[in-house]
Amino acid sequence: MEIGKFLPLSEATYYVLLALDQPLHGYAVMQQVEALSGGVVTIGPGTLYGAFANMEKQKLIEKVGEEDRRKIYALTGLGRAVLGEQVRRVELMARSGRAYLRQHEGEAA
Amino acid sequence: MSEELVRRWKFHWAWEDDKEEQWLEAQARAGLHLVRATPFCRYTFRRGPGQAMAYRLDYNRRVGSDPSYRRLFEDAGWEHALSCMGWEYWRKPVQPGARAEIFSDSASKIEKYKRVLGLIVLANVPNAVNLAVLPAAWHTPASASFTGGVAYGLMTGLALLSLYGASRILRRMRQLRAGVPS
Repeated sequence: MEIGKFLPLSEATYYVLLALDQPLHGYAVMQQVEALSGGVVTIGPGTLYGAFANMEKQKLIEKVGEEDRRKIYALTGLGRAVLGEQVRRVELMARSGRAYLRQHEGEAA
Repeated sequence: MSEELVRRWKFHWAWEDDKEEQWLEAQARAGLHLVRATPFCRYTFRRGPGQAMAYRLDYNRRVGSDPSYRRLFEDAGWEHALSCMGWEYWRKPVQPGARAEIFSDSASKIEKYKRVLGLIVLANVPNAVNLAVLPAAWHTPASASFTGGVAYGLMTGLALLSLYGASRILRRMRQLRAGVPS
């Protein structure tokens, strides 16, 4: 399976995958995403419901249980690989971005 | 305590869901809280204290058989007001300074409009077949009747209306893609 076709992840997708590093139900994902993003990203229930359906179809996540009408999802191997690759690319972007800014710091002044 | 029920007619096209939300919010401010609706948009309200309430409409014909859909919204603080022909009506008291949204990004709003668009296309499949076949049958004396003409006119009307509706929805989708705030 080619990982590159899933990238780049949207901000919402990225945080949802990150939250699903441990099995969670929808509302716990919403809370976790808000905590992980320092309150910057909030996900509405309509958006999350659609995101779950899409990611499940893409086999990035899978349903691992159901409790009290709540579906519990977790990352699949593919989801973990996609998330890892996204982190690697963002780190690369941040590294080269920082280097560029340092290099040109003096010029602007 | 006796409950006073109030009935109101209000018709909205499928592409005017935002106007319908605003209208329901205005009713809530005036103390009318949605209880149910008939498929022909006759709303029943319960009279109570006026409240700042956010109403949001989702369209999804598949969620009726999935109990986790409602559970997710309820967990997030939304109350299910009613379902009507694939439309799901959600409401939540408005907190000052907070925007209550069931869709938090434009991608998921676009997906909702795609589902509405699917409904319009589906409603026109038999229509399209009829419109294609009827002109051919037009030349036979039996169908070149007054009734045949009326039927043909009605179908053409539905097709034109659907085209108009579809163009309105496509415009909303384009605006969402371009980042125009809704």
